[in-house]
Amino acid sequence: MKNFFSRKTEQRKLFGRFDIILIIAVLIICASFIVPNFLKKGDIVATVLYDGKTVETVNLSKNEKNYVLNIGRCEIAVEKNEIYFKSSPCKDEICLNAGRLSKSGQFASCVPEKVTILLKGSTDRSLPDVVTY
Amino acid sequence: MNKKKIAILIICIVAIAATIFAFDFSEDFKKTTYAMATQVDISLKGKNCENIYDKINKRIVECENREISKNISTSDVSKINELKSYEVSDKTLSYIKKMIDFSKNCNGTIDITVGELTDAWGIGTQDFKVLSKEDVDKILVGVGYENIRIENNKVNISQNQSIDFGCVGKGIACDEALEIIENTNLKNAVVSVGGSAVLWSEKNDKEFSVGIREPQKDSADYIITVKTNNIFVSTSGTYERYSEDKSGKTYHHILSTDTGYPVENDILSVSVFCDEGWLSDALSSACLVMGYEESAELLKKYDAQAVFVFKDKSIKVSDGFSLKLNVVSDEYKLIEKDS
Repeated sequence: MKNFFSRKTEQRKLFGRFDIILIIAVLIICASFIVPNFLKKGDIVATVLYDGKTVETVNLSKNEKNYVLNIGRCEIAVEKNEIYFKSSPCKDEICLNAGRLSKSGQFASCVPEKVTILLKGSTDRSLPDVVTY
Repeated sequence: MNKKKIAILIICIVAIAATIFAFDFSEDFKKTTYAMATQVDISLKGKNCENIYDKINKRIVECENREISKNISTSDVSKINELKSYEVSDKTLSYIKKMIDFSKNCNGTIDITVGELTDAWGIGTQDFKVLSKEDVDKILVGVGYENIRIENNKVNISQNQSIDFGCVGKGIACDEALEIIENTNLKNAVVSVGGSAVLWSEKNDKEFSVGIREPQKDSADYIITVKTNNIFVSTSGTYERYSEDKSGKTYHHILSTDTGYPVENDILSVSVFCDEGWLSDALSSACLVMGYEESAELLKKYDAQAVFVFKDKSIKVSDGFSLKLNVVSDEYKLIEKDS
């Protein structure tokens, strides 16, 4: 009778306590890499470059206030979900014409002033490798 | 191995595989800089990226300063324009010869002897001017690649001529970048010089995605994606840089060598995919000027493929277009060949 019960218990318990701890540990470690990516999904992050160097990074999705960044001689307006060139001393005004940027993959540059705004979804891997224009 | 161990092993492998799939551990080296009066974006994958980036950047600046700029007084092109006869480097000579040959093949639609004309219009500067027909006609007399004479490395031009590589400069920079990239151990590389780009992977096995920007002045979106292996791409468009005269008429920066005025047709932009950077740049300008039907033969001759975007928001591809194209904007429509 005793032998019968212990054998049954052994069969039911495919994993011992140590095995379960090990599996949970592996799953937690893996989840710590994956989950933050999914939680951030949808956040649009704007990077502002000045002469090729990152001078400002703004999470547009989380930004609540309107303010203006002075980068070189350009003014860049930051608003909720949007960023755009507000003013620039350049004559061609290509940067101002780019308008309000809000979507992953959009970018605008003021080449004479060496200021660039790039937008990227925090987990967006579907963006093109390059955009030709 | 008992069932228990196998089960644990499978769970661990699946979890780790899912993590690797979901999380991109490898980080590209990306840097933006400015050269040739435009933005240069360099993205590299592999070892020693910082050092290779420096080499590429240095080479592009060198190419501008020593060879093809018409605004930097030390370059071969500036010296030719100033002295009308000058002994140039092998590199400059090879690009001049390629462009003369290209001009022949497109009946002078693209011609590097337009320097006086582009100067007068203020193209490539911040001061775009609108010229009178009288002024244009006077300058047009000097335009003609047939008048370039080459003796060994000496390039001679007429007194009323000057050379301008503006229509192919960015593509040439991509060619120069590839020359460096091919002599490294990089896995893959993407170099964009003002929207002209080279996309390269070591074994030509990576499928890249190229976005084509919406050809509207007030847009920062891309409307088309094209999947491709190793390739060069350039786009010419009439939408970004232009000026207005007193009556409100707009003038863009791509000039017809026939009229001396910005070309007027139904095309907004042309993107050309082919095996050389200078060629993709030259072809995109030529196709824009020549139009869809007329440029078919030229594209075929150079084994190139093109995407045309028209003012009515339709899109057409060149004959035999074999790359995977996807229109991502609802506003634009791909017109199939037979429709």
